[in-house]
Amino acid sequence: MGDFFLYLIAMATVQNIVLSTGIGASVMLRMSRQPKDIPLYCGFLCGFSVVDMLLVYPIRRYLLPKDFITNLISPAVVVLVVIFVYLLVVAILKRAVPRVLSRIQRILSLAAFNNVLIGLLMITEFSLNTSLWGALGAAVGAALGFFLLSRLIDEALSRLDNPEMPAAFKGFPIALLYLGLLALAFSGFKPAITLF
Amino acid sequence: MRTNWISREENPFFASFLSRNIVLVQAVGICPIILAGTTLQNGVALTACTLAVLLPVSLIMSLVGEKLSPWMRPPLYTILAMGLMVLSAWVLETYVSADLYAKLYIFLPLMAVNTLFTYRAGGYSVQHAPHLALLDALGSGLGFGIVICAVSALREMLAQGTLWGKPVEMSVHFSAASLPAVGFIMLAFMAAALQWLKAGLSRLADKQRGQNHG
Repeated sequence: MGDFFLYLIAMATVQNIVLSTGIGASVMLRMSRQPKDIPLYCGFLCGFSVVDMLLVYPIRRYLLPKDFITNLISPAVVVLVVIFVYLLVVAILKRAVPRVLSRIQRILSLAAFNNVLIGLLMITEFSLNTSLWGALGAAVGAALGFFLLSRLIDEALSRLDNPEMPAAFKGFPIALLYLGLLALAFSGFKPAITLF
Repeated sequence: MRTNWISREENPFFASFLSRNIVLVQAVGICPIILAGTTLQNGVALTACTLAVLLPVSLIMSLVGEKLSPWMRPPLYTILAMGLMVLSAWVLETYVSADLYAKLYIFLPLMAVNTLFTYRAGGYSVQHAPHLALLDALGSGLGFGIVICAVSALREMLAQGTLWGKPVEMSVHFSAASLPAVGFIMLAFMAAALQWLKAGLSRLADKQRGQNHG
């Protein structure tokens, strides 16, 4: 259980998946144009991460043999699990609240099929030598870290939107530069805590 | 309603490749550049794999995507992309370079769920005719490729003093160039340079239009 909180805090802060690897940067920057969708996206991302991790972790650790063919197709196995969970969620929502599904479908599919989720499921196998609790902590932490960083970016972009900004850097370039400087700052923690 | 025509101003290849570059303007496909774009060989391999997957997936989504419910499209383009990416990975490992495959092992599957497929194959291609979808996929793939190759080449030269694995004479050595932070900063300056160039060309075009009318 201690692993859960360790990985949660680490993935949410010092080993933030966007700043450490760039995974999820595109989605974050595009969603910064519609910040009201971010809490819902992060909620779905957290849910999918936890459920998918509960399925993928035992499959990859105990059921799939470690040979070349399995290594080649195991990413496809991960994606099949992700698709199965997504279709299950869609089927439940379609039956229970079809109008809600039509409103949230875009965010739901973005949260189910993205680099953060798939990257996390794959990184957990290769780099995080941890228990299932640790993997679940990483899943929740990654979603929390995405949310915290998106709030930071949203606040920064509103302050950077001023007449003093050189025209060439307005908008996307300054957002990238801000992410880069944040990533540089956070990389200072790497010698202290390194999960991957 | 699907769009079938191409106007000179809205050529999808030109838009995704340059004027609205898929990475530097549309903020799509950043992750592999930051994470794997550390050597030119990585950049070229990822570009080739992306094109090999994006073109057929965009074509298929253009042909069948509109007939499917919106919630069915993501699983379709994801499983198509993953299947083709596994095939590309096998070709890379068997016929190109096992070392390169080993370096890109974790990045190739991530390409299949990249925003390139979400927004281009799953977005643009569904709403446009097959020939426009293919033009857009080609422009997106090459637009992504030119950025990742430029960033990868620069990072390899700065961090390792090599280009395509061969030593190059560099008076500057910056071992931290392979860090994700440097990738973000390089992309920021490239995006700013493109924005500056577009603004300059736009002012020039306005000036010429003014002179023609005057």
